[in-house]
Amino acid sequence: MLNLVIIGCGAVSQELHAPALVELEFRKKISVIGLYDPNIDELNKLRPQFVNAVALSSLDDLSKFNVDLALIASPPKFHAEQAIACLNAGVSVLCEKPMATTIAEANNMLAAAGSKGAGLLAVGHIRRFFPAAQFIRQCICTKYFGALVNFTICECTKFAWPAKSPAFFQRNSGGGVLLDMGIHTLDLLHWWLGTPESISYQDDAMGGIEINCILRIKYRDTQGEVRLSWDYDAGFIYTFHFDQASLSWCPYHPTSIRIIFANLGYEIAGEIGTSNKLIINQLPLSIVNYNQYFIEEWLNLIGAIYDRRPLVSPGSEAIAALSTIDYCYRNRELLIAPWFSTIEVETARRLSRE
Amino acid sequence: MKIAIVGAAGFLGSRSVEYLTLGHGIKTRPIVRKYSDLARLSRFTVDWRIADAMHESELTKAFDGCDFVIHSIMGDNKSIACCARPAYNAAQAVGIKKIIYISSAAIYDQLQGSEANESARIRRSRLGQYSSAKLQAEQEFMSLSSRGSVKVVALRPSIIIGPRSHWIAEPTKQLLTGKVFLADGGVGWCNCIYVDNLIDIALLACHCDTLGSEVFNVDDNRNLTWMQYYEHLATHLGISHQDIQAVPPPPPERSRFRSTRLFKFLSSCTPPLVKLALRKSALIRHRADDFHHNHSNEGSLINPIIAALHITPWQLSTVKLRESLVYKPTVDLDESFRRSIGWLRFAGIL
Repeated sequence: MLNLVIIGCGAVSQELHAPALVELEFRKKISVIGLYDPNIDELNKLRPQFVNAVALSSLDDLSKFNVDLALIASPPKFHAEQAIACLNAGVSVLCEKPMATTIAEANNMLAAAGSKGAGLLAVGHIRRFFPAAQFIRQCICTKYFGALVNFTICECTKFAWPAKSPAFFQRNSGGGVLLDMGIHTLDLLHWWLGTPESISYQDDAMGGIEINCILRIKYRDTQGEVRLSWDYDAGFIYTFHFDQASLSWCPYHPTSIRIIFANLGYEIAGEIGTSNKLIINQLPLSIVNYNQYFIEEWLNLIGAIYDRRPLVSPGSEAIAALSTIDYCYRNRELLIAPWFSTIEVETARRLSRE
Repeated sequence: MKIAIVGAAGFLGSRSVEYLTLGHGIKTRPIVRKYSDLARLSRFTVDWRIADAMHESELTKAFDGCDFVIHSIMGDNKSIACCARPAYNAAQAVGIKKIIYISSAAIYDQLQGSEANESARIRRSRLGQYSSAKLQAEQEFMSLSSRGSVKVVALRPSIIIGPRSHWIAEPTKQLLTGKVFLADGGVGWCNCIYVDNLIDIALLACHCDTLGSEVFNVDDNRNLTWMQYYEHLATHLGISHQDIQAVPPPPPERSRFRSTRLFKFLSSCTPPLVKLALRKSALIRHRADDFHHNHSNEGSLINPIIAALHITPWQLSTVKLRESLVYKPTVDLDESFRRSIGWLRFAGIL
């Protein structure tokens, strides 16, 4: 059984990881022995679920315990520092996305993970564990429905996450909707399609962070558009147009897929999965909901520690999406709101350059 | 000059932050209830505060350092009704010069005449719950200002249109799906105002040092019926408005009887289980409910409240506004629709 500490006890830990970790404790895979969060109120919310865990006053306390694993779910600006402290102490890390707020920080994390005696570094790109995402990857790689002609991705919803701090909205956190939601999207695109040839990027940050953005991305053989928003509700839909079919998927439904067969006038909508062995790992057949994929994420890391199984989302791959985001921020253009007056546009341009 | 905006996460509040920052270079202090409400405001470097609009001490800290307050909260009727005192006391404690309270023309909803002016006699007992709550807050603000040092200007808009407005998004969805139902053919007045024009009026009220505590109707004076509003919108969208259907006007009996003291007394004396049984009884099922049932389609706005709006008999009089504040709308109707539809495209609704 591996000893685990939770670093950052806010909403992500409470809502997404805690149920999975409780289940893994029950299965005697792990034991949560420590909780760390400077906000004691948030830390105390996890105590009833992990009664054997002690409250750590600092990450220096890691050396006092026999820690094998750490969940880093603090605000992104702390990820690098905390992950490096864990990795250097020989602790394997599941770092929530984004793995860092800058490429330099991410490189430092990878360097720490690569040093002798360091722990493993996995990044919480949970969507890679979804059967639908794995199926899309297979469709693209094998050209099962022919070549991918183009794609559109829309992840647009009013911000409703029960944020426990203003970290989401502060410029020194590294970014806005692109860094928070787009990191998932771009990680999947890298996983599915590799490195893009060119990207044009617009967002609406005017001295603060972006809450709307549009990316137009070209690959060697295909191209697509990604729209992200914390501002309005236009839903979550990935649509891929292949030569012989169109495939659409909502990323909050890990197994639901809709396929429209070109020129036939038929479509099929249903659940996707493999009959006896799933694509990435040997997953239990009882997977029924979104949260259970967090169990699989942890099992993947535990398997990598015990059996040297490959990580589904290693830090070395997760940095690619961060690199794209870094490129976008460095090459950003202002996304002009069509309801702005002339003077508003002028001021917006000035503020966006500051 | 710094303006605190209570309710800054809403449609009017968030546009106020945006418009004042970009269009006027005015510093704002958005005040919201929870961190997640900061999303839309965080595009700018703004000096936000988290505060509950019902808590005087939180508002006092949040108002400190500001000159004016624009107060535009959403929420349940109880919160709306009770929002005045904490805000007023907080403003007085930190020396705010003026509060601009965004009231509502809904307080005229029982008016039978053809014109609604600020001196119209309104009985709160005859109003619906929302209208009553807005009027209670407005009256309390005015009462407090008569005894205190902070002036209050209450603005009474009816239909506020603009980017992110429900009154743009929903009619557009109805027009796009061909499911437009207007009570009595939409012959009632659509007293609309473009959001930027409303904020301009709030600014005028802030700047006018000679203006005491006053109440103003605010409207763009477009003289539009609801049918004409939909026709204009359809024209700007480039789609047909031939599918607009007239449905019968809503029955007035329900609102009248339900607003009487007798109904309220009987209601307060009736045990909950009896109420439930009565509600389920076909004998007393309300005609308004039948109306809703018979004429509501998916995506349609035709519930009794909306239907009552479609037959609004009065136009908001803005004589006082034009004379006292020398106000003239800066954004005309075509431009209002152009900008609003720009938002629809931006948000992928079109």
